[in-house]
Amino acid sequence: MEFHRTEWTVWRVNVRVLFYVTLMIAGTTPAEEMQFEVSATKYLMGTLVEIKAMHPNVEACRTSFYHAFHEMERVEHLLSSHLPESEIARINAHASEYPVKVSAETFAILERAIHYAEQTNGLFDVTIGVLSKRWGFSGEDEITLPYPEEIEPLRAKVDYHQLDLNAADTTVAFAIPGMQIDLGGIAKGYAIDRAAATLREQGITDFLINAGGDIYASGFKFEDQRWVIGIKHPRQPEALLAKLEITNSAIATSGDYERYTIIDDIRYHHILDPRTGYPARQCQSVTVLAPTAETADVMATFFFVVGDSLLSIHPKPEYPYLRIDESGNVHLDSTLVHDYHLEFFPTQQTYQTQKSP
Amino acid sequence: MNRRDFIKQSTLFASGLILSPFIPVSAQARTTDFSLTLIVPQPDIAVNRIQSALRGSALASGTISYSEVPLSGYHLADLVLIRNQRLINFKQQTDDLSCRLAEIYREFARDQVIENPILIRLVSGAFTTTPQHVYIYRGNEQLVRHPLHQDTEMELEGLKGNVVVHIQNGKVRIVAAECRHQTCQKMGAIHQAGQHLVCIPNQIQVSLDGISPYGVDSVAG
Repeated sequence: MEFHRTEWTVWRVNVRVLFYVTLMIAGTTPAEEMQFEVSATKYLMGTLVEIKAMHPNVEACRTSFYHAFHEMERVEHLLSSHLPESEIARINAHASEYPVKVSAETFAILERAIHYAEQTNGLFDVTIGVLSKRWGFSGEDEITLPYPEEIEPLRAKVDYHQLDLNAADTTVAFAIPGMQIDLGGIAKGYAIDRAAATLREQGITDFLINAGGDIYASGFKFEDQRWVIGIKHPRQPEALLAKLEITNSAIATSGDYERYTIIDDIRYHHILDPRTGYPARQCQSVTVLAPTAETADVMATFFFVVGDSLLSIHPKPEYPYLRIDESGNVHLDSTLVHDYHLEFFPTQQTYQTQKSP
Repeated sequence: MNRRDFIKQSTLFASGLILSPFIPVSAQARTTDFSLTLIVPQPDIAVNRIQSALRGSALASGTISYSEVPLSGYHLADLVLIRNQRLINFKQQTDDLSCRLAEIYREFARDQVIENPILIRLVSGAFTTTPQHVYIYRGNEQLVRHPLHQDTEMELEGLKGNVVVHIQNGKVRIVAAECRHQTCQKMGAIHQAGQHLVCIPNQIQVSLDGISPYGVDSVAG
């Protein structure tokens, strides 16, 4: 069968019309179901936790939220160093004197914490507790600048190799007296992951959990629309720097703009470099995407401390990141633009963007 | 165009017309913008009843935003339906939805003054990116709803101490707080829909209503 040019054009137009008609039918049937966007907030783990879910049944969401918040509360009671009855508080109080027996769950988190410390050459180290406490970054203490001579003896107590974990009886002991564990960089992420697992167990699949800026987003907001996440501007607290789209992914930011004090025009913030005992200096903020909130939480802290050396790490970090360096320059994985539709908002401050391949 | 082409084009056009009734109304222009607000002693049963009343009604399409918040003090129990920006007197209408809402009103809300009730809000469609009100919460409880463009300063009792909120020229900031790190004061002034300030130690949250003009669902950082 031969087509003349005019006949072929008509067929092409008709195929296009047919395509649009098919698209209309496929995109809109069956009839749209009533869907609720249910949201709830609660103060937990020293921050405000928000859960949002898309579901046809409000009551199912309310029940699931109750269980998810309860699960986070349970994790808080296990891991918070500020609650005297928590297992971590018991370790900090007694592990210098004798091995402290903990639950299998706490033990597993500490094992993973050591694994992260090994992966990051000790730049993410949960034994940073003694330094955080002295600076006043843990809990409700006042932030004060330590005398230089105070730093070195405290820094000597920051070493994950000296955390003795005995898997046979799940006990924890400090090889150096006075060591302290601070799970601040991991506990919130773990709690989010537990809450996410709880929501899924309850049959909720399209949801978002935000605990003080650490987020896990599951499924979709609408049919094929991913969750849109804003990233805070590190120097304009009321503004957003950028937004991106995620699904079945966690996102966490470490920034120098929340817990900090300024003394003699120098900003002292809560992300301490275990190598120096002082706040890490080469970033304003780092945002990281990872499959779990725990990993995103850990990697955001690690990338913040690594700073300018991030690109020279081998093997190359597998987590997409957006880093604002100390001068305000933006460094980012180009995958954030291609795969996550990263878009910047106009801001008062001009940024130089440098993409890595 | 020859006859054969005309028939081909017409067949496709006709098939589009035949199939168009199967395209749901919700995919066409939205005509069901509404907000439904309830003040009730306990949300559990009321929520189920509202949900079942909505299902099958003209309002049951698309996404409906649901939230609940405890209110502080004494409030008159109520049920208010606003549809396409008009207050609906459901008690005097005879359609199925109005009758069911009237039933719910009689059961849960009629002329009762309740101490520390729950405010339930269901909103569909008419989301605004222009904030109108400042909401202040302690814990999960709503303490204040104040017009954004009415300047004032108010002192609120938080968990650890007092927090002072300043509203001026459509901008809101926390100007003093009895907390150690003063993070809430460093958060600056908010003026856009969906923004909020939080004093974590005092569990005071200051929010502006509406949806974020940035088009985001949540904020990392």
